[in-house]
Amino acid sequence: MAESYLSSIWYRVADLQPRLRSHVKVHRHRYRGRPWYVLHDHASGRVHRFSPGAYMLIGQMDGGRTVDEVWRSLAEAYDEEAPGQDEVIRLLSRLHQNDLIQYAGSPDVADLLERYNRNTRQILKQNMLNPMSFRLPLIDPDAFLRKTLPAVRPLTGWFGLLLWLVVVSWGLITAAMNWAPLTRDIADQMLAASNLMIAAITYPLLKAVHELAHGYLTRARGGEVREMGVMFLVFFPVPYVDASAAAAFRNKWHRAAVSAGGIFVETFAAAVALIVWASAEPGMVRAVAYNVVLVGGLSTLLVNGNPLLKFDGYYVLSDIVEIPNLGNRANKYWGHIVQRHVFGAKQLREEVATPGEKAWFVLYAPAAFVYRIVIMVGIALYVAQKFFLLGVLLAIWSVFNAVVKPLFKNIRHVMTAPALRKVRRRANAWTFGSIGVALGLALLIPLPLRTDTQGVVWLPDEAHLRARTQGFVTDLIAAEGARVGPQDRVAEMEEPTVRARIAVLEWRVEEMRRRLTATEVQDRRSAEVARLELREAEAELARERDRIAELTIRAAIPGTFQPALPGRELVSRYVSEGDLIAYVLPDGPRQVRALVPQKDIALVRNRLQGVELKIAGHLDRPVPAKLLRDVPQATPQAPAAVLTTAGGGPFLIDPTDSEGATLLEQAFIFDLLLPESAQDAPYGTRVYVRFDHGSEPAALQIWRRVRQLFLKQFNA
Amino acid sequence: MPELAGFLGLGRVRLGTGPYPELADLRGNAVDLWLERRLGWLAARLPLTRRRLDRRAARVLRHEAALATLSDAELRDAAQRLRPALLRGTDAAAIDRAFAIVREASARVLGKRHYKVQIMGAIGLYEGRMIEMATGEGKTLTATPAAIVAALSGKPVHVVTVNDYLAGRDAEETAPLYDFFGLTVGVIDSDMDPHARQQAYARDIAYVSNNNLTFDYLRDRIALARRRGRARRKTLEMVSGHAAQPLMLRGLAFAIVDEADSVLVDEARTPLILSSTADDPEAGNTYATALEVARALSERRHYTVDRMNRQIVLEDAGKSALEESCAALTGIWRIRRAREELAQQALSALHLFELGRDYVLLEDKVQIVDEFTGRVMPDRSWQGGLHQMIEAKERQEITGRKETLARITYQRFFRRYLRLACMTGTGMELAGELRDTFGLFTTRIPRHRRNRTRHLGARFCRDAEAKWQRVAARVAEMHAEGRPVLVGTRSVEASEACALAIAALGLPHEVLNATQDREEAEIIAQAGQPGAITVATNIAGRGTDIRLGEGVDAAGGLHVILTEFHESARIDRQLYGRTGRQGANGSTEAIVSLEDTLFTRFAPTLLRLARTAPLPPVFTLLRRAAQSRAEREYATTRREQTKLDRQLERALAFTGPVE
Repeated sequence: MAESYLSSIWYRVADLQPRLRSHVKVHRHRYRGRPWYVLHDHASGRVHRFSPGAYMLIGQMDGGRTVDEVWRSLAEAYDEEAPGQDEVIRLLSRLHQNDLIQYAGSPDVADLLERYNRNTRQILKQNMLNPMSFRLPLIDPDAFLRKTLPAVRPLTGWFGLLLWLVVVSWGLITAAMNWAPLTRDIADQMLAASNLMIAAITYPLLKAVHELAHGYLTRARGGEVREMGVMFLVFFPVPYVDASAAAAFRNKWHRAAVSAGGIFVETFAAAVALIVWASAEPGMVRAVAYNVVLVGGLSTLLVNGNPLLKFDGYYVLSDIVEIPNLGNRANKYWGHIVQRHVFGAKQLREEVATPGEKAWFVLYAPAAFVYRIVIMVGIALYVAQKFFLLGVLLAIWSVFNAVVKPLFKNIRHVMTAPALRKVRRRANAWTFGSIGVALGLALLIPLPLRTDTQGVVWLPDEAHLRARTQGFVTDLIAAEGARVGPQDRVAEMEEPTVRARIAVLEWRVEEMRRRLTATEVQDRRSAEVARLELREAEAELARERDRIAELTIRAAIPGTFQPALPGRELVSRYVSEGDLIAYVLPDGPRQVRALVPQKDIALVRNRLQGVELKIAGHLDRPVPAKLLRDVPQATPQAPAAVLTTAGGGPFLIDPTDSEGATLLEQAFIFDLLLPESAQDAPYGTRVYVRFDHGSEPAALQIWRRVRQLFLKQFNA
Repeated sequence: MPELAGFLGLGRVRLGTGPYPELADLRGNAVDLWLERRLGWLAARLPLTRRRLDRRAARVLRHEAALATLSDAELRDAAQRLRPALLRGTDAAAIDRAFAIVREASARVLGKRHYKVQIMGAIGLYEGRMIEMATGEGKTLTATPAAIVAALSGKPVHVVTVNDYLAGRDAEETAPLYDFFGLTVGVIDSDMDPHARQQAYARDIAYVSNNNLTFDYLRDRIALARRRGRARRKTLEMVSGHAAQPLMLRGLAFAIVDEADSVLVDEARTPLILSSTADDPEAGNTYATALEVARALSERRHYTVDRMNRQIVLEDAGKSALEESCAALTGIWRIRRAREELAQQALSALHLFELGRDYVLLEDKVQIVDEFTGRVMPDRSWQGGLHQMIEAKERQEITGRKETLARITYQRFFRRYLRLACMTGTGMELAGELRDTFGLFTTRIPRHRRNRTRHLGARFCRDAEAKWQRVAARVAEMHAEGRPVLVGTRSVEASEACALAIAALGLPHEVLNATQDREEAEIIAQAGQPGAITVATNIAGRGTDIRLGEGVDAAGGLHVILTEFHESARIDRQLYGRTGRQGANGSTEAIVSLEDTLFTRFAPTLLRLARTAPLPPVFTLLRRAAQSRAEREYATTRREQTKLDRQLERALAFTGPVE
């Protein structure tokens, strides 16, 4: 509806003689360089912000002059700038709804009762509709705060800030030093039964101090704190303090300080707890400290102190950037942009905002939206792992609140709002068109469906020639690049002590044999011992002789000989048992061995349409490949270190395995044939493998992943 | 929950604060209203209520034999003895008996014994329903038992008609019956002074036109000002030492509204405004200047006319042109927003409102013609200076700036009745809306005799010229057969064009425009004579039956020609309903042109198709599509208006309990 200058209902307000109620105080604030008038209602403790234009009017209401007189004098004095009659009526209505004005003459009792009833109902409705945050006001803490304030006053000023800075910095340093133990198993511990028990005590206590901080900070700067009670956050009782009086403070840093009180307290507590945790022995104290770190630190970082959610951090931000009501106005601004520029509703009045504010609006709304959903769904999924039903309910509720409800509301607005009447067709077309396009894209337009994983240019185990015993390499028999067959000698090693030991053992055998001959007739019992000793010596001798055989390195498979080091360096080098000496590169084309995680195996097995490889070092050049072999059974062993997280690959290694070769989750092996053009890829190179499954609409792809997620998370 | 009070008949009703009984304004939320709408629609289409009323009417009729034996005095006595039972209001047997007594008395006094369907209607009215009865079924008589039974139980009864003439006529017709029971009847006429009005309202039963009633209510509200409560009123009397200003009405207890669809829906679009005229010597000049300035602007470049939504949009170029042309002016012209608003209004007056269609000049005054009914609404004026602007445009005397004293919409006013009963010929289409806005359930009452009219179909002519030729030819045909013909037109302009075409054939005819109700009724009453030709705007002379002259029925009855489809099929039905009363013969047909605004405005695409492929199914589709689109659009507008009205009232709560 376009606002009109002259109103047809002016007669109803023209003769009223309003004035501000006596308990309403006016403060002049500056927001982003512009003056605003803040009306502080001491009876309700609420604060209302008015533009200078509105205040021109409010300021002239003295209970003697009629609205008509005031408006006329404004119109004469300000001409162009003067508010229209409709604006005046809206302003009066807003003042009345908020109980800020009274009129000469006796009040309308019926209306008073009606409004009182409506308010009561409103609160009840709010609590009913949002059982996740049910507010129950209990006491007036003002007297208590006033009396105890001297005790904590130093903490509410610069000294407190300094102390906080020191302790929190110390805490952060401690955290950095103990990062690994601190973050290990954090997820498991948080919802463990014992930790929940501890949290049931520490959480309300911490919140109580948190809320008192708000109260004290307000009180210390002269604001009144008149309401304190219990709020049921997700059915969990948490104290709260109504510090809204702080909004009347002129200095924005004072307002921000009150808002930030809770963050200060919680991070302070977390820092202290961290220091205690780092130095305490395992036990109750350490458990409690750990819990405080989690509650105070993590919740502040993710929720309370984060400006993207509507908790303390949000208010601090909106105080500091001087944009009260940032979140709502950002959403409205977006709504306005869409309605005006996309729907073409040109008659809509633009929200009053400075360019700086608009920049904030444009950035804030989408960021907050995305963050809110991520956090809510994240929490829900996380809780669901431990408490399935609760988590699923929580997820449904949060998705409903964050996505379904606003979507429904917006669609209803588009379809029914009188403001969009003239552009309804266009608005409908855009709204349903874009929904249709999004759905169409998701459901109909096939997107490439692929499985990406990694593999390695594979050299079989038999191709590695390793020293089977220790010794010096004396000679390379095969030349580099020479063709060798199986059992061909390729290198000789020398172990000087072996020959000596063989000589010793030969003599020992001789000794034993003679002793046996001597005792066989004299002492049959000793002869038996000598026979055993002889056998032992012979066995030892045989083994050492075998070792001599092992000093000769032979190829296991036919192929091309390739020493591990250039021949010159290898000869006369000492090697230990198991050291790599050379390769026999097998004949035939090179292969890639790829690992496929379990979640993708069905796709890769059933819908394989092609394989594409990218070899590290040549990532710009994808090459096609052929599937050679598909090992039907999953393996827990990583085929090569490059595929594991330790080697820079994507596959997690079981942390309990000290060798670092066991996969956390079993995977399947696929052997792929490298094409002609890529045959020069060095063995052991990382290969990025893409299994192509044709295409499938995005919605189906997402649906498959969600189902897998549920399967994995909930076993359902 | 207070939201539920009154919803689906649950909970107790909330009374308004005031010296006499009336309901507080409804507060239903969106979901309630949505449900109510569905419920109203459904209830009107289920035969449950009709069957129940039928059974009950049969019970009433069974009293006939026993009552016939009583003398007049005994009958009167029997009625008086029922009063305590009626006062309690729950004794169904007593109510049945009371209805039977009224029926018997009517037979004796008026010589008309109510038919069973009329008794059904009367019971429906007494229960506070919307009764749909076909034209000519005797709605005036149907209202009497309900009015008498309610009056006997001590309630002030208002019988609401669409104009003064009908109020007077209906009261006169039924007065002997009321007299029989010792009930007094008052008639309110627009020319009456406050004292006389007050006395008329003081009677047991008051016949009054809807706008008189509403204005009198507004006067009461102004007299009460902020002191509505009984205690306050008494205190004031005690303190001031003299009686408080007496009120007009005695309470909004029971109203029977005739032609309810036109009162509650068609006329409810603009609020009634009670105003005093303030002298403003400047005004004339201001409006003249505004028109002058506006004439200098050119369409498209400076402004665009949105005819569908009846809006003028001032473009930026127009705004700067205004600034230039007003640079030399003083006063209000220096204020940008005031200036633009005045210019916009002047443009509306020039381009959106046409003499003959939207208003007429009567007695040197600009009078609004109702867009729907073609009826002149003498006491209405457009708001916000538009009326004065049009006066300036037509070079009439400027009536001076109106100071609004109070305003109310029919929606709000009739909703305040403790019990509201309505009658109409066409209510089914509105059943849902009547439920959510007025809390009325709609019931269709069957005809006394079978309907024998024949519909001869619709003919679509290429342009208006062809249409009038065709109409005249059809009139001549019917005239030759000795049948009377009624031609219904949309506007005064159209009826003149039609008369011209008929006159060209040298046929005698009467033209009926929205002028005087009494003459209208007399002409209409004659429209059934053999060979009579009457050209009338759609519902001129509404509420008056067209009685057929001698031999007409045998000749085929009255022939009705519709010359332009209305936005609402309901109004078309009303026109068709003028023939075939009480099972008489009759026929109807439609002769329209493809140039009619209904088609150009609401179905331009289909119209193009109809022009290229002039086939009957396409025409039928064209009419249906255009009418349903128009009705949907209007229904949305009305719903939005009601909603805005509610929001406005909520926002204006701070101004206290004034209208």
